[in-house]
Amino acid sequence: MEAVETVKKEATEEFHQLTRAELFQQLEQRIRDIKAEPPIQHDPENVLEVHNLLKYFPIKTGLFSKVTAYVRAVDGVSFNIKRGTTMGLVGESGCGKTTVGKTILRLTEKTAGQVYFNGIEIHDIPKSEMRKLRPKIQMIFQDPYSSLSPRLPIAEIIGEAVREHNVVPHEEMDAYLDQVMKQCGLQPYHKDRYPHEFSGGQRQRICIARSIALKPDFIICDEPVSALDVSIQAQIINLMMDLQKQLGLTYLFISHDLSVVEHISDTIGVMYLGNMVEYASKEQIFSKPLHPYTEALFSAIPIPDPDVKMERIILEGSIPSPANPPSGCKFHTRCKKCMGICRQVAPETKEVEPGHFVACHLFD
Amino acid sequence: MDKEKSAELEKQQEAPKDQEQLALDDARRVKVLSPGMLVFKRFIRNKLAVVGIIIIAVMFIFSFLGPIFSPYGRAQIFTRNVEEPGKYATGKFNTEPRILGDDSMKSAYLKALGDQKDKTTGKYNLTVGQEISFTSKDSAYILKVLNPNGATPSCGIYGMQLIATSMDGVAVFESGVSVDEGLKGLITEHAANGGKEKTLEYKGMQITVQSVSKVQKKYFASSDTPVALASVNICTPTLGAVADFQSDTEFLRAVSLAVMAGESSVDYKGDSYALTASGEGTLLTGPDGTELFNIELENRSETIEVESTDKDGNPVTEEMDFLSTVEDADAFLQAMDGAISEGVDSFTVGENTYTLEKMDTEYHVTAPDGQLGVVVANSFTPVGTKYDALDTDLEFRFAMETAIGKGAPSFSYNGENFGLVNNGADYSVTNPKGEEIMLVSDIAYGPDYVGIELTVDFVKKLQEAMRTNQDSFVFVNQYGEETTALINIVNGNYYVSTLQKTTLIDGRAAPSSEHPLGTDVNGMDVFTRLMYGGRVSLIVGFVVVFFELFLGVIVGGISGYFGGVVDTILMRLVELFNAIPFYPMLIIIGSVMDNMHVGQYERLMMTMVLLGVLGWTGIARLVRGQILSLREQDFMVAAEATGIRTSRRIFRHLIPNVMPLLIVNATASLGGIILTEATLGYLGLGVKYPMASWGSIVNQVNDMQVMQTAWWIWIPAGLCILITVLGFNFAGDGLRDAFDPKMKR
Repeated sequence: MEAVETVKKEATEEFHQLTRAELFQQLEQRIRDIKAEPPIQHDPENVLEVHNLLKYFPIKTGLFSKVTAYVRAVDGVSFNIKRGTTMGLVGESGCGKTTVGKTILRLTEKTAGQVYFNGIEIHDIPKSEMRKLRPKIQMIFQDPYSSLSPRLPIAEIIGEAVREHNVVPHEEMDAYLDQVMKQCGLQPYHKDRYPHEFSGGQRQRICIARSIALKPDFIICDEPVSALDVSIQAQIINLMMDLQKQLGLTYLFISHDLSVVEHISDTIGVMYLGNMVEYASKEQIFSKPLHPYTEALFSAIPIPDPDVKMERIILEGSIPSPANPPSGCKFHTRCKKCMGICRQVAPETKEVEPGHFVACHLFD
Repeated sequence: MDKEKSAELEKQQEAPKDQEQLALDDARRVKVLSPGMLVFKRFIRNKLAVVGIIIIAVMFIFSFLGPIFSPYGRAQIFTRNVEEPGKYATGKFNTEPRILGDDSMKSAYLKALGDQKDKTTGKYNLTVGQEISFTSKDSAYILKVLNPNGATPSCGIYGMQLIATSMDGVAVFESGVSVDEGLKGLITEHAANGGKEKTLEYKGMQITVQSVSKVQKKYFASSDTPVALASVNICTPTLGAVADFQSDTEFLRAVSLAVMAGESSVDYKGDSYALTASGEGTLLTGPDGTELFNIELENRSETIEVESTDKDGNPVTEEMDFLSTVEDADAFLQAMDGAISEGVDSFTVGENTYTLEKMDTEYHVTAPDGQLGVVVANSFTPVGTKYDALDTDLEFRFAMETAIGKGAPSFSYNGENFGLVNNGADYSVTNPKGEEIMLVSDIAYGPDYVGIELTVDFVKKLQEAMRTNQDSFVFVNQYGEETTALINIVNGNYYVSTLQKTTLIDGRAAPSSEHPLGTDVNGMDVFTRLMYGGRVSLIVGFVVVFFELFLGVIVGGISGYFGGVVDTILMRLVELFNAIPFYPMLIIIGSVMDNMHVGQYERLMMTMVLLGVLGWTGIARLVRGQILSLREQDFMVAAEATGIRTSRRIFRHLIPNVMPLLIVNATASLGGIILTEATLGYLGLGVKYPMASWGSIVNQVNDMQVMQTAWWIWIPAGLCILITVLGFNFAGDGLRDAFDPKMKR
């Protein structure tokens, strides 16, 4: 018993545990700091530039809903996407991938940081301007069942926003819809049907058609195939790649399925608990994953060869709560290579080799 | 889908239509169904729901089209004519003498008479002509027996004159009364002796002594002046002819025309009636010489209302005599009389032409300016005969009673000789001509209602029946109709009832071919009332539901879509409305409306508004919840991401997805509202008579008798409520199942 007490005492002496209020102060300071950062330099090659994006959801308590803590859903994420390329964003459930996507779309307001779309800071323009900009950035949702209004026919679902934004003249509307639907592998006679009459794959095609009908530059695909079975997944992925070639689209492909990401992405970002832990080109990251989390994640990719013995890195425990994440490096609670510093200091993102960014104390 | 396949499909589409050979897995084989159609298909597969819809449809046709074909009105009251025994008259053997003339001594008289009664036999020991003195208050009387027979003797009552008063044995004689010395002495002596005797005799004269107190005595002397007659006999003058003619307007018109024309006789129904001038009027004599009427030619104009304007220009209505509005009244009357007698319908006075219209004995005159006046041309005064007032003539009655007491067949009065016919216990009096002028009997009678005139025939028959203990008899009533009278004896009173034709409200009539469901308490056709009641019940149901939907969707929609502070405020409002006690509120407002005499339609409106205002909260919560959940659905996010306007997002994406829920909820709550309305109607707080609703029809069952005997009043209405509510519930359940995507069949 005495021994245990001593260890505990040592541990408390070793690093100062932040109180709730202190943590809150620290987070407030972080928001202020990031808000004060100067605008980043815009590179015209990039469709999307995200710098230190912060999305904190306030936790309100008490009678007057006073903000006392934050859920750090996105905690300083930076990346750029070049025109015509696809960036894969991977990570476990609840690591903030979808929140990144929605914040980029301004479906939720950012807390701090910068999001540039074609050089425009989309969180700074008025809502009316934003509405005009919306056709250019589209989103494809994970669940093809709930993302289509059950009481509207397909033509209406696809054509509604086209009409709203006058993407094509009114007379050409019909022909345009036919063309878009054919592009997405739908038949024109599907126009009068309702979503409930379609299979999951067909619905996702409808979602894709809805997006590309607006002639967007950039599409956020939020796990577009995870609700589909594997054969259909391939169809959809191929369709998306075809469309990218035809229309010169740029994708942000959010997924937790690494094989799909490998297939479609040019660059890959790995997120853990609101942080981007590693960000590199597909080749770099697959050939040489640097971050222990990436390593563990990639070791889970099944190899379709019965003779190869997989060396899986099993992560202990589950992902901590983003409302109360571990101090220092957020991954240290599950990291096999955890060091003393990891518990106290959050690692900076460093460019280990050209185009390969990683946030880990191993590479200090 | 690869390009090959889509090319193949394209080819198929381009192929001629007569060769439409589709592949087995061709998507076009699937019929396109909109969500609405799908719901409909699912709905009609549900047998209960179809039954519900059929019930609702039938109820609608019944309630909204039924009344058009119903031969009866909503509040038409049905009556039936019945002949039932009704009170007509009461007869009684009269034992208590009626005093004709001054009756102030009645109680003293009855006491004096009662003293003569034999206590053991109960009979009076009296003889004709027997005299008994009695005192009453300050006066003394002598009764003289006229007729000792019968239950109670008939007596003449003579007043006595006060001649002296004694104080302490000293007699003081009244001044102005001549008393001879012998009587004076007798009274003085009597007074001095203390005066024990009650009566004194002096030269055949009876002196009555009244002891006022121990020391004061009064002495009265008899006189021959009768002051009253006490008899149990009732006299009925028998002058039927006059009454008969008086009600015959045809006859009266003929007579009045003849009078105005100055003719000396009128022929009517084959009889000739003489007209002779008498005094100011004309006397009408019947064919048998009886005098019937005295006709006075009199132009009496009635007051009319004349409209004019006062000095401020406001219209005023003034009552004026019609004649006073005519310029030259004399000339007018002359011209009018002439016109009436000539039988023309217009006459001219000066430049004005008046029109004349006969209305019974009245003439309506219309002036050139349209003013209508009523002129009564003639007035008829029944004359009867000179024997009319004899029943109250004291002298006549004395003579008659005396004759009866003596058993004489005749008596004379006023120089005329009257016959007395004995019909057993009753008598009839005839005049010198031999005509019966009066019935005399100790049977008292009287009509039970104002308006009943008892005919002589009735009186005779009644007397005969009472004497012979008959329990019914036939008589001719005042309208000349033969009527059957039934006698019911209670406590010595003979209650006569006749079968009277009365119009009764045909309430609680059992179902018949005329009224398939009978009539209700108010005599209205239940079947027709059910139709109109259904209208009200269904209209209330639908209007209230629409009102609730209107309020609920707006409040719930705003609350759910905008959320935050708006949501908080609106939901507190909803809770506020939920906290209002429903029935107490309705009961209070219902009685307030009762007090303010709110009209039936306003009342219906108020009831609907109230039900709506108190009932929208449920729908508001439902809509809010649904919108809250829909708002987070991906398709709403997608709609936002595609940059669709807010209004379009609400009306194209949100509302259509709330509609199914609303339709289901509204249909299901319709039944509940109809029930609430019925409850209100049953409690008497809903719609009021003459308006009907199913609830208020059932309300009549609060009478225990209706509940036990007249099932047709309340059971059909109750069944209507039951079936309709069931129908709505079936349809609501069916809709809910049909809209539920999990119910895939």
